[in-house]
Amino acid sequence: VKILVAEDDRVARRMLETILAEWGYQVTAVGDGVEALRELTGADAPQLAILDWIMPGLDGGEVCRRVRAEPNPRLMYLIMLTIKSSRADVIAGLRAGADDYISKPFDPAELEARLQVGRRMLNLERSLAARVGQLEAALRQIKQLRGLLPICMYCKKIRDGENYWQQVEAYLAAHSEATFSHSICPHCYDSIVKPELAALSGEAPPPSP
Amino acid sequence: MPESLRASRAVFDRGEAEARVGGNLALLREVAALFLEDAPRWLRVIQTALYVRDPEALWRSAHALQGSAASLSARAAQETARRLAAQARAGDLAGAAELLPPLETALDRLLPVLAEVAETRPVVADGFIPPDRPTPPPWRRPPLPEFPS
Repeated sequence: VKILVAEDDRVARRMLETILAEWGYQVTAVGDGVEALRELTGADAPQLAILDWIMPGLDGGEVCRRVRAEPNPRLMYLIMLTIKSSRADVIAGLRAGADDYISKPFDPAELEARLQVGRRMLNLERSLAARVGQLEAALRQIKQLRGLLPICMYCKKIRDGENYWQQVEAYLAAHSEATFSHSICPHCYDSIVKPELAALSGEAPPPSP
Repeated sequence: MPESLRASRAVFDRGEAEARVGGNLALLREVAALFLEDAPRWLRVIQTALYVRDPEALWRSAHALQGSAASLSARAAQETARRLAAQARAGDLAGAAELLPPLETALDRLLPVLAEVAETRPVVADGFIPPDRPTPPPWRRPPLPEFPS
């Protein structure tokens, strides 16, 4: 899992970098907000980030705000690093778009637990996005079936959106989850199949009902 | 707990610092060495910012020193830097200036201890002895910057 660490203090940055790498994260560490924003808005950006609140260039809150204001905001879990006494900073950070915060100096066990929350949230959001995609596709198909369908008065073929006439079963199969198996209804059995069987066996057709 | 132990833990709490690096002593050595390089620089910026009366630069440098000291469980330096940063943020330069000597004292006590931590040779089970690193010069408080009058 990729993670960005943005922290201007070399001591805290090195500690985070090493501990996160020990936990199996693929860490990119930067020392200011401008570089952090570049990493988070670039191609193949990490989805997890730990951002220091006070940094040169852009502070952590401004990085959060700009990442969230992207035209196509990406799925991203942003954790803010702030010193313990700064309650006002925590509130401002969460308002700026951070998902969570960790107090500095950080406790490794707390950091690990909060990162797990982050990964759980990302997984949830990913599966939610996939489910919404499926539902949207299903909705599109339902709309196609509910639209006005031109049907031939004689052969009962249906004209699709590309001006192509299809058998009704082919059309339904293409535009819904339905599949078809062939069968014969009692009426057609009596009126079509029975006379054909009789003709084959040389018998006189039975009188029509 | 004896008073001397309490005092030495206030300077640098080694047990807590080891817990902060998850028991990774090589990492502790490395970050202690980083602090030895950075702290004198921050102190110099603090001194300069007080001299040129720049509360913003003073606040940022004191805040940075506070963060670094906190990461290393150096409570005395952390607390003094925190108070200095708070004074700077409130624009009280006179109050901040009063905290400069205690901060210098805290660093005078802390840096030799961290120099020892940074120099501690790792114990390697298989008999491998890592090569010596060059010994850094002993800690000297940076002199006050000289400004044209």
